[in-house]
Amino acid sequence: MNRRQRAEEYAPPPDEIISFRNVNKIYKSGHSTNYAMDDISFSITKGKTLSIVGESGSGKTTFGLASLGLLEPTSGHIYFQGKNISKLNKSQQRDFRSKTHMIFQDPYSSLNPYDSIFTTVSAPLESFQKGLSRSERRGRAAEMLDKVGLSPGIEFLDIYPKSLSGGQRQRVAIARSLINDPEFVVADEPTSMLDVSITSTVINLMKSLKNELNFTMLYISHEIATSRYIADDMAVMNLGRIVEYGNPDEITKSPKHPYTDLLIRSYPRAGVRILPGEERHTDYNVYNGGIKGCTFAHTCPFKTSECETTKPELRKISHEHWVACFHPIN
Amino acid sequence: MLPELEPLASKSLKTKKQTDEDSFIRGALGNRKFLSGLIILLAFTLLGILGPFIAPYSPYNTSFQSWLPPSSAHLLGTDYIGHDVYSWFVIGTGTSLFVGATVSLITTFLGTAVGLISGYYSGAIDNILMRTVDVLLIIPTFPLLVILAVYLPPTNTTTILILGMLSWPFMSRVIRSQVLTLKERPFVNAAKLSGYSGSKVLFKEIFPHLLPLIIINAVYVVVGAIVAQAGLAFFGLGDLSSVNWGTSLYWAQSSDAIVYNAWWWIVPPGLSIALIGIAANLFGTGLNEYVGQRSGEVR
Amino acid sequence: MSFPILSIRKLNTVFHTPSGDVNALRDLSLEVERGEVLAIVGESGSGKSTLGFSILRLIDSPGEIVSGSITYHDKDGDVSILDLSLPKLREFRWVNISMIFQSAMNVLNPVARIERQFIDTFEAHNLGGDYQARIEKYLQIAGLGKQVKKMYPHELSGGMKQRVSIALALSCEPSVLIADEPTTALDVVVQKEILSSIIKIKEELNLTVMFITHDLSVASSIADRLAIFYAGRPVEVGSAEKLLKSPQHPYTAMLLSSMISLNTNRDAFLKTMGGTPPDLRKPIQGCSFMSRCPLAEPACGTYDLSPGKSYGEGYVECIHPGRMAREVEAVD
Repeated sequence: MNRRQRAEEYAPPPDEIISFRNVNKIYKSGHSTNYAMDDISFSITKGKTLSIVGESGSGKTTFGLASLGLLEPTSGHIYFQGKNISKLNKSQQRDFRSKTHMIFQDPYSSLNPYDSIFTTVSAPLESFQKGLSRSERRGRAAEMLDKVGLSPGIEFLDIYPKSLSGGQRQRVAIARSLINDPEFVVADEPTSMLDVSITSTVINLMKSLKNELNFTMLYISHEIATSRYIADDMAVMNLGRIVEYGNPDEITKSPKHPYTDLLIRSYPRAGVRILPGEERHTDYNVYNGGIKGCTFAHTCPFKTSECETTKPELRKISHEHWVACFHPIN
Repeated sequence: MLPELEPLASKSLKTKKQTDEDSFIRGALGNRKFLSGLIILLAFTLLGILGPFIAPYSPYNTSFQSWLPPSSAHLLGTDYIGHDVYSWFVIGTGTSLFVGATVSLITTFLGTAVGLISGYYSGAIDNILMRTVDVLLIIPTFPLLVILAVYLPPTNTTTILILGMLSWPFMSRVIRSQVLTLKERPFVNAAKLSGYSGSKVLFKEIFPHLLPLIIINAVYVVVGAIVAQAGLAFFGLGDLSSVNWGTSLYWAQSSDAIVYNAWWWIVPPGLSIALIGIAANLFGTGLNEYVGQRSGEVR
Repeated sequence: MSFPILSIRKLNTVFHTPSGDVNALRDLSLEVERGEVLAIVGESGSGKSTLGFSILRLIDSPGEIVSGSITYHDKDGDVSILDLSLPKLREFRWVNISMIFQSAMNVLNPVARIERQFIDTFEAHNLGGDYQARIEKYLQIAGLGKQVKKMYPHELSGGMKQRVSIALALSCEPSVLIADEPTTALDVVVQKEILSSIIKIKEELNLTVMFITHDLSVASSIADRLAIFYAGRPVEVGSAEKLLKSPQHPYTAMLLSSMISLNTNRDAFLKTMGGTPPDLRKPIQGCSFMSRCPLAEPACGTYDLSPGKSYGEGYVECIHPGRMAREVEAVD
């Protein structure tokens, strides 16, 4: 197979659904250059929930949007079930759209206030299940609303988002994303705008629907505890790179990358007092412009000269654990 | 099974089945500025439509004595040559409004279409359209209007075409910038993911959000065109045989109405132009306030 | 014996909206002790931010403080904040009680150098002395170098901006700092550093801190006492330690058990809280948490909220306090 064919299509391994190959996304503004994705090569396992954890500016949302073809990488290729998503023909594009969807962060701006709940939830059916009559679509939408806990669903069909609370809106968004039985769903910080008492209900809902409907989920969040809870696999992103990947329990119990370690140590724990002397001044997110070595080198307590000159690649260090670091924590 | 998920109360929802559009109009009417602007605009429209039926004389009838002050026979007196000013005014209202409305129709159609296309499909189309708009926008409108009016046949149609061609670029700019922000909103991405085609996203998801803006702009253009036409007529350009507010002011000025103290001739068209300008502003501000407050409530 | 620096009595703050008056604070009474960190914890609509804004009288139309009193116990006598005239209020604010916000940009002017913003504040309060030395002192206290003086806000990261707003809030040497979700917009690493700075500053300057947050973990990691807000009132107030170990109010207990930590069992569903908070446009009879409380019984509907029940130094508004008490899972 020559290189050109390779760029468009290949037979994927059976457990792979999405694959990133050397993907870059570079934003330039004025004289500053920002790498939202810095040469990412990474695959998402079919049927699992992968959570991506990162701080603002880590590129986690860019990763999610790119995996759905909602933004075009600066270079590199993204494959969905072995097909390059930026080179799809019209029917392949339809097929790709019909198998994917997304749950957004802000349930207020992700629902169009001018569309009724029925219009919103049944939109994927209207596009992809042309054979269904309106009353069949209403039935399916009501059934889906019941499933996400808005019951009786039929009562919700003809109302508009403005009569719903934030938590209810997010349930509508979940219903819309799942109604056409997708194979891959991206959830981008779906609970960060919700209250604590609503968050746990929505997380439970997503976890149980995931088990019932058996899709692959990419869960994006800055919140490491929720990410750990919901995920089968976990990836940590820092300044456009995946620095650690593996089993969520392993990563949170014994992080190998110093950056992951810092994230976990900084996570607020109920009743664990923060002491006056704990500040270290790591306002590191200011700096990101095509870093040659490790993205964490300038803050890392363990850095050596190698860290500043050579890019550490993701390598396997135990059965379910990968890390991109020359000096992983033991 | 999801034992944790309590069914959400649906009682409160049952009463809210009225459509969104209903409550929108009802809500907007609750805004005093919007309501008073709307009433004034409707009153003028009514006057314009009824003009020919309520005018007691033909506006071209010059058989009356000149410079008569208002009386029961001539509600607004007569002018320098013996026209009945009241008849001239009510029929002129119709002409002025017709010119304004036609210009607004052209402007709104072109402005909205160009704004939508240019904002949504960025790239080459956007570049071509916006450079054209830029060129049209740098041209100072009124001087050009004066020059064109000198060279083109002085008819109302000419005035309408000139005003229409000169006012859509501004409107397309306004619409385009709004589309640019709207298309970044998550619900647009959600619609794309749900399989909506580009034109469906544009018309079903984005367009409804633009409606208040389009209506406000359309009303401003009506008034702008009336004023511009009056301005042209006042300078003796355009069709001086046409009966409208502008020509009324032109003839009043050129026949020294002020010297004759003939306020009855100057005040009605002058006041009308001011009043319709105020009405358009009230209408626009009120609608804007209501839309802003509503989107506040939506959040 | 307690020595409060702020006493709030029967405070009622209302927001007049087209769909009715929202009673954001309902007969709220609370004491803030001198030198403590008191965390106000609540979900959106619980009134936690409204309280902060009410104390500084920053409530704008359509909001209105309709009744109650807020007393500031100064060294030289008591000040009734709600009775101050506007010029007196301007003198009082920032010099006695200052505030930091979720978005530092609420207090920073984007087109002025940092030092200009300090000098404006000093001039507004007629402070004399060496301005430059003073600016450097407070920047340093907030953990910033003096080079920041000459910078513009856009040259600073989110964490640094929040530090500048802390320095500004402290620059007139107030006794009380109200911090309204100061770290919510920040990432965890920077959040921890800022929290740690606040604790350090509090000890150095002998400040009283009122820390408003939705995050019980954050609150309990820095506060001496917690006040759990629900529907415009504190439903439970107590020492952070005790409240975590044995929450007395069912809302506190359920909030604690629905929290996700790094030790949550991944194979079980999370504990949740059903229902939604009550509509604050309607009068509330008895306990406001009744509609979501698994322990609710008819008596809760007629329960007289004032004065609540004391337990030790704490306070709880529940007729069967402690029944849902549970041991908090040992964290770490």
